[in-house]
Amino acid sequence: MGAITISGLGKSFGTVEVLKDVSLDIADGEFLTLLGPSGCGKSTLLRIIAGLERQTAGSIAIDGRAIDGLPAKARNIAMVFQSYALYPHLTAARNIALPLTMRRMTPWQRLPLVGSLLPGTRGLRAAIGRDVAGVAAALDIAHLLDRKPGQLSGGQKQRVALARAMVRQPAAFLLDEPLSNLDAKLRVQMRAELTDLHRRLATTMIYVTHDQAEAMTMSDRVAVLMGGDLLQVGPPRRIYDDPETLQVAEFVGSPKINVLPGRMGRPGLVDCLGARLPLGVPGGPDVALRVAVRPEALVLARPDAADCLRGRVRHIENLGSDCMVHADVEGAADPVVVRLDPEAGGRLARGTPIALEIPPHRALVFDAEGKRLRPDAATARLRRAGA
Amino acid sequence: MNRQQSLTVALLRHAVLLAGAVIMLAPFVWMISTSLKPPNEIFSTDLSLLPRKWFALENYGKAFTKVPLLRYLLNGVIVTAGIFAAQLLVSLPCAYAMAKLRFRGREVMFTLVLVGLMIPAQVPAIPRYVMLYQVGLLDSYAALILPFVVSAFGIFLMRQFFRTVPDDLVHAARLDGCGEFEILWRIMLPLAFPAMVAFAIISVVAHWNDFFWPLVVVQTGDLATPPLGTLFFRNEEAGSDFGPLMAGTVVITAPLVLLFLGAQRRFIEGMTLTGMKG
Ligand SMILES: Nc1ncnc2c1ncn2[C@@H]1O[C@H](COP(=O)(O)OP(=O)(O)O)[C@@H](O)[C@H]1O
Ligand SMILES: [Mg+2]
Repeated sequence: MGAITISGLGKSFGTVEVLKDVSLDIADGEFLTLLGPSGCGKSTLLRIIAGLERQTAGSIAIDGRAIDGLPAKARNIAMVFQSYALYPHLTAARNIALPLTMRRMTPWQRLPLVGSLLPGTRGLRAAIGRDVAGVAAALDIAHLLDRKPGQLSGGQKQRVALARAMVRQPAAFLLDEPLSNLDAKLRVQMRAELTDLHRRLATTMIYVTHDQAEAMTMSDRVAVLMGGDLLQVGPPRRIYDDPETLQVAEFVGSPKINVLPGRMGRPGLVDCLGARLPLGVPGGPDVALRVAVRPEALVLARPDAADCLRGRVRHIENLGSDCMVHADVEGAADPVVVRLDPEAGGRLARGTPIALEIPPHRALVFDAEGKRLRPDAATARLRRAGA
Repeated sequence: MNRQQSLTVALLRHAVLLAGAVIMLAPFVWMISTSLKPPNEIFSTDLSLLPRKWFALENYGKAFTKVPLLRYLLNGVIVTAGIFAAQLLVSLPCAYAMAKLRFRGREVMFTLVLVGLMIPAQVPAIPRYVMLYQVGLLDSYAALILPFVVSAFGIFLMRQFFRTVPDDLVHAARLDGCGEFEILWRIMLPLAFPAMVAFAIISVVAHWNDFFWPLVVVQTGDLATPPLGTLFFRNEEAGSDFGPLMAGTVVITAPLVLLFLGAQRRFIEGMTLTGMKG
């Protein structure tokens, strides 16, 4: 129905390479989020999938059938644009009806005046009207059908744009930052509605966003795209807990993950600002490393505990449900952020000396280039070296 | 003090505008006034806007009977409408392609349009005349219409407007199943309506009032456009009978003034070209 296979896709505008060798398999009915900062090529990738832009390398297939030569209208893919892209001179009803009018009626039947005299036109128009009413009811916009886009609020335009995409029952939906123009409250509500809609339609959706909260809450899988490179693809939980590169670790998660300078110590140990972590990652002695720890992974230790990061509280943000403590740690360039429960956070004040413990299994170690180092890879390599 | 000052400034401003308006309008007022007077009053030394003896019926009657004024008006309508329709047919697709499609040579093409914009109509007149002579089209409606079918100005104006239409709208239409022609017809045209009205007025005014080209290619009076018609009028009347002549010019100018008044709002909308937002 709507399994999309992207293989070796590349795109350059002149000499600027916007997408580099992107390969991705999207299962039928999957909700896949393309996550990445602004300008990383997300929209370009969507436009290529939709057939609005030609790739300079690679191939795309739907259900195993290559679609590279097909024009946009022959691909059976619908797209919702960030700007909604509703036709301003047509009512909501006629906006939603246009894809059906173009597909079901002959050019003669579409002609004004003449068309309505041709046999079959009346019946077709009625059927289209019923389909439009159907999606409008499903999206709760039946009462808005007579309005023009200029008379609709952002959220309402969003729904009309969704209806226009849904009405022709495409093989896949492409959504390009559909929520970014809505206010914060509506965004959270629409997030839930979109997830629900996906469950009901069970159609493949490729959802583009730079907002990691959307990516984490809505997707079956997240694909992280940065600078035109697909860095990692996986379920949201894995992207968060088990990032392949420091870039991914830093992009996902709010507040940002803490990155600390580290160094290989005795075999199997990583020294990190006074903490010694038994991580068993590969590398010779004294190799520079980077140790990343999520704010919620750090543990507040007793002030006299050994093997800890030491510093002073610089700033406390009490968010009600939890409490973000920013601390200046000796040897760290940026303040280290720790998430505590409000009760523990409440006992601290500006300037309080604190000690922070890094639970070894929550520490992520990266090499100087930002590539993840894993303990098991280390043992494998050691074994290979030994053989 | 301050209020008084601003009042003085306002008065001054209005005085200047008023003077400008009087200078602009005076010839027209004089034309209308003359068209209502008998010959002896036209050349009398005392200035008066209203005639002492109303001579309107005689002047206008003469204007319509001495020369085929209605025929000239009809010619004017045929020629200006023909030119404008053909200009739309050429410039809309051309402007759309230059605004929204990517192809090699697009920038060069646009530069050529700009160059075309700067060449006055008199420059290519002789080659055009020779070409029309060679295909045997001189002294016909075709001779009056064909040279203006491709309007660099029309292409330029419509392209500038189409560029303000967001790309996403075109993309959405493509996904909805529209071909390029349908995008132009269903999406771009309705949005560009104000620009089209502005173009219509500029084109119609220019070609309704054009004297040079009809003078070059028209020999028989039957094909004369209104401005050329007044020339025939003068020749026939030995240039002395100003009452009917002015009556004729009033009749010729009136359609344009009415057209402008009718489309004024749209015209200003189109000329300011605020385009679309979002
Ligand atoms: N038509 C184009 N011509 C040249 N460069 C483009 C074009 N479209 C996009 N780009 C460039 O490609 C990069 C990626 O753009 P885009 O896909 O829109 O990013 P995103 O949607 O992730 O913010 C940007 O640097 C942008 O400047
Ligand atoms: Mg984008």
